[in-house]
Amino acid sequence: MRKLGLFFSVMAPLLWSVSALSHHSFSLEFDVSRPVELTGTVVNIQWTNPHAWVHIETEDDQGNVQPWAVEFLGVITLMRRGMSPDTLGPGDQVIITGFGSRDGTNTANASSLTKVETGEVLWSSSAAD
Amino acid sequence: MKRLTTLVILLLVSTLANAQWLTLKTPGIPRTADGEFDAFAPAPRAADGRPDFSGLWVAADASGSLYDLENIQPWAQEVMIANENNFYAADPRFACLPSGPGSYPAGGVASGMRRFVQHPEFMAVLNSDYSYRQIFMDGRELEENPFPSWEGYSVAHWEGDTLVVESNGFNDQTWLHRDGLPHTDQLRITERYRRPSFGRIDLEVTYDDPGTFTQTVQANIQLRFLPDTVLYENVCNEAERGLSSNWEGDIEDADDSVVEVSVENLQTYVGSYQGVWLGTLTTAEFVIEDGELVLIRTPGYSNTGGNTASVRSRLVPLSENAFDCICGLGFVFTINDQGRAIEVSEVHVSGAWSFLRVD
Repeated sequence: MRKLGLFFSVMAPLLWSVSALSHHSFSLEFDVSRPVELTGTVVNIQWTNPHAWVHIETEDDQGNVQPWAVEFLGVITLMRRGMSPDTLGPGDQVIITGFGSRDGTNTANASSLTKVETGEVLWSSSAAD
Repeated sequence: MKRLTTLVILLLVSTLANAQWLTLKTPGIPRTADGEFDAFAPAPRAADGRPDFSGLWVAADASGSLYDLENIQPWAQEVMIANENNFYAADPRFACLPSGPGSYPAGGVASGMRRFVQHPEFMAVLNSDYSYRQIFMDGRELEENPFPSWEGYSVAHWEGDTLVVESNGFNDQTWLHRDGLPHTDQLRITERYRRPSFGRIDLEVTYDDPGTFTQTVQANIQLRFLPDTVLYENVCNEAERGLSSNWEGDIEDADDSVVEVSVENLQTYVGSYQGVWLGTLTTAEFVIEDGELVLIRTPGYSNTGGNTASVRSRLVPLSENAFDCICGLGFVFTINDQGRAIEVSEVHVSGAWSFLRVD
C-alpha cells in the first residue's frame, strides 16, 4: 500500500499538470515588472479554451470605471480547481493579483482570485494540491 | 424497512446521476480493497489475447537522446534559438494548427491527456484538442512517398506483447517538442509500446530524420493510466478575444529596453531557491555568466512532464528585481530588510509560483 500511496501522491499533481500548462509563454504577453492588484466587479466570464477570460470593472483614482480583461488557464483546469459558473459569476466582487500585459492595455494574467463576499480563494497558482 | 431501503437506493442513484464526470469513478478497472485504483494489477488483454492499450493516458516521464542538442543539425539548432527568442510564438498550436508528431507522447504538446481506443485491426488516439491519430493494424504497409500530412500515417504490428508502430508522411510544419525543435518531411518515427502493468505503458520512440538529426535519436517515455476522470475538449480558437492580439514579447525587444542592473546587484540574487510547481519539487539556481544572470532550472521547464534534466536560460532585467527569462517565464525576486534575496516568484500565465531561498 505504501507504493500505491506514493503512486497517488504522484497522480494528483499529474491531473493538475496535464491541463495546467499554459497555451503560450508568459513573457510573450505579460510584463513581469508590471504587477497589478485589481479590486472590481465581474462583468462577464468567457469559460473558454485554451484560456478563460474574466472581465471586470474597477474604479481608478479619479472615480472612472476601468474595464480589465484577466486571462486564466483553460476552463477544464479551472473546473478541476473548483472555479466554475457555480462559484463565480457576473456581479461578484473580486480581488485579483497578477501582472499587466506588455502592451500597456488593461489586460492581466492572474496569480490569484478571491471572492470579496466570502473570502474564498477560487484561484491560486501556488495553492497546494 | 422496505421504504428505508428504497430511500437509500434512490439516494445512491441520485448521487451517481449528479456526480461530475471530471471525478466520476471509471468502471471496469482494478481496485484495491479500499476502492482505490490498483495501478499494479496485471495489464488487461483484449479478446484476441493481445495486450489492450485502451484507456486514458498521460506522459509522466521522458528522457533520451531526442533532447540532446549535440544530435541536432546546426540549422535546426538555429531555428530552436529563434523560437526561444520570440518566446515560442511560432508554435503551430498558437495558430490553432495541429501539432503533428509533437502531439505524440514524446512531444507532450497536446495538453498531455490522450485516449487510446484499441480494435484488433485499428488503434485510434484521441487528443483533447480534437486532433487524432489513426494507427492501422490490418497488415498494410506504409506508402513509400505519401502526400505530406500533419499527423502522418501509421501502421502497427505485434512483436510478442510489444506493439510496434511505424509512421511517416509528415509535413515539415510542426515541432517535435515544445522547445521548438523542427523536423523535415524525411521524418520517420518508430514507437514500441509495452504495458507492464495496468497503470503503466513503457514507450520507446526512435526518430529517423537525416535532415534534422546527426544520427537516429530516441526518447523513452512512461505513460500513466488516468483513472476516474475524462478527456474534455480543448477548442483552440474558442475565445472571442484574439488569441494573439496582444502578444508582442520578444527577447530582443527586452534586450533593447533593458535596464542596467549592476553585477553587484545581480550578485544579490545568486543562489538556490526551491518550490513546488505543478506538484514537482523544482530548484531554481541563479548564477552570473558574462555579467548576466542565468537560471539553471531543475527539472527544465518542459511540457514533456517528468523530464528531469536541468536547463540553463539567460535572464533579461526589466527592473531592479524583475526579469524576463528566454524560457518564456518571468522572475521576480523579493528582498528582505537586510538586502538579502529570500524568495523568487516564477511567473507563468497561470500565475506566480513561489520558490524560497535554500542557501
